[in-house]
Amino acid sequence: MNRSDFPIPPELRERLERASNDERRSDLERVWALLGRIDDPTADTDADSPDSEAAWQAVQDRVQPPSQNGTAPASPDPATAERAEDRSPQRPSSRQRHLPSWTLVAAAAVVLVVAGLWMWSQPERVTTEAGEMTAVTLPDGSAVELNSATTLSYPRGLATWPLIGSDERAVTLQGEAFFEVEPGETPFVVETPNARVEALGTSFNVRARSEGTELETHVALASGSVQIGATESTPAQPIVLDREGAVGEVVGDVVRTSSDDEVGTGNQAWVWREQGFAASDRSLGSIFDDLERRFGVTLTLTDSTIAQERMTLFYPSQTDLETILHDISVAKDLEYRETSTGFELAPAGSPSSDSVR
Amino acid sequence: MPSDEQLRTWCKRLRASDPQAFEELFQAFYTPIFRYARGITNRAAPARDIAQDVFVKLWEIRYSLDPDRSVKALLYRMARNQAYNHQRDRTTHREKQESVQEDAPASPSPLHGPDVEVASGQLESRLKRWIDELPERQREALQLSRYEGLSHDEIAEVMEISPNTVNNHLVRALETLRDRIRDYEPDLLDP
Repeated sequence: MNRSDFPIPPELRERLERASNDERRSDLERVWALLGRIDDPTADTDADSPDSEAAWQAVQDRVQPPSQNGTAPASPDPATAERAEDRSPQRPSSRQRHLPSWTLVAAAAVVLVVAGLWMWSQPERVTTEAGEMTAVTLPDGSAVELNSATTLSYPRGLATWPLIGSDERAVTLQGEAFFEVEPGETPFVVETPNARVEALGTSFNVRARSEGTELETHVALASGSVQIGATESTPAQPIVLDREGAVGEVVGDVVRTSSDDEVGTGNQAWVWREQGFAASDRSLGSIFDDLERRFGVTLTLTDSTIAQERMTLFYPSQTDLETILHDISVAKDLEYRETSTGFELAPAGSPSSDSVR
Repeated sequence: MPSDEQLRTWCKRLRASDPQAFEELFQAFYTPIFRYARGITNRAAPARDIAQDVFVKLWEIRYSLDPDRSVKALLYRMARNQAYNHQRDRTTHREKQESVQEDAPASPSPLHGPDVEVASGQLESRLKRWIDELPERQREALQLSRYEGLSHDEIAEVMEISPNTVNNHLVRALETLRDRIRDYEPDLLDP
């Protein structure tokens, strides 16, 4: 789309139409049209392009400095750390110098308590990078395994905040994780960008990754039962999964049991915990996204139409990437070759010198 | 141009720390933000830094994003603040006459008379120069509306003025440009 083809905005058009002078109106409309001859009024004759590739690289380096290895620690919000320091009760204040000492002590105590409460309420965040997995035990004893490129956050004192009781144990998830929930008096809730999964002593897999324009959350049940609802509260009924292997999903704000809801299908959803890999009738584009996250490499397709092809894959135990790429290539008549940052795939027979089948 | 729905979805995903949403937002807006910043700084190098800073900042504040508000307007507003701060902090200024007087009426350039050849290249470079010579706020409103496609409400949010004032800026800008064009080659104004 030619950027310069933005039409006269409605508010401006209204203003011009209210003008009494027809000639003035048509003149200004003509000026607007003439302005379309320029693509970019800010460019100099020796304009250097913004080079968004390099810029993206630079931005990525700044927001996620390459992590070291192994399990990811809780990554605190940098602003949180700053504010916590500012609240140090030892910071001298000239205003307090003239106050009696007992007031100072009381003030310090109040600051400590406030800072303590405030820190207590700040969520813990655990993040995995591409190619990493980790496991976390929550304050209530529940265990969570995180797949790659996932963020889990939860309040520090999960449902045990000292002053204010809580009627649920809520965590926030972006990415994919397997939950083993400790039985408890309050419901355990997983919140994703578009869904709410509620459980009471159960184990299940939640995959909150969006492939297209709509937000998606997929849940597979291992034991017990869960209730799944959409956060965009419509009158739609939440659904309940209570069979091992049952699968449900929330796409946008629509809740339903998944189309491949057969007993045992759901078990595939958490083979990642054994370093396996599974995808059930998904587009190659989405599968490659998953492989990139899982193995921490870059996969490129020379032909973007390949990305639309659909496949089902199931590797129940540890499998290396080349095996998976090999199988995909055989099934879809592709060839793959190694690049400096990963692999490249192309339709078989396309001009690509040292390709492997 | 991403739809409001798309912006909303990105916002929600970004709030949940989804790096893919962050990348998609970057791909959609980095270049427009860079262009917009360059319009204010007049040089590409600081505009690049500013555009990068804006996205880094966006990631840092992702937890506080509100999907009901336009993340697009937020990006432009952050870029605007940074760009104007940059201009203010510069000790040497490249001469740009009306940049200090924000609403000074632009004085038309002395009549040179129409050139014999009205080559399109000539018109374009003149248009660019005339736009550059507009009072800063008018130039900005024009760029955001005509070239970045922002709505009046979005521009109002970015520039922190009312949509009516946005209209005023646009009308005055168009009138100034019309006067310039008329002095240069009146036939161009014929429909």
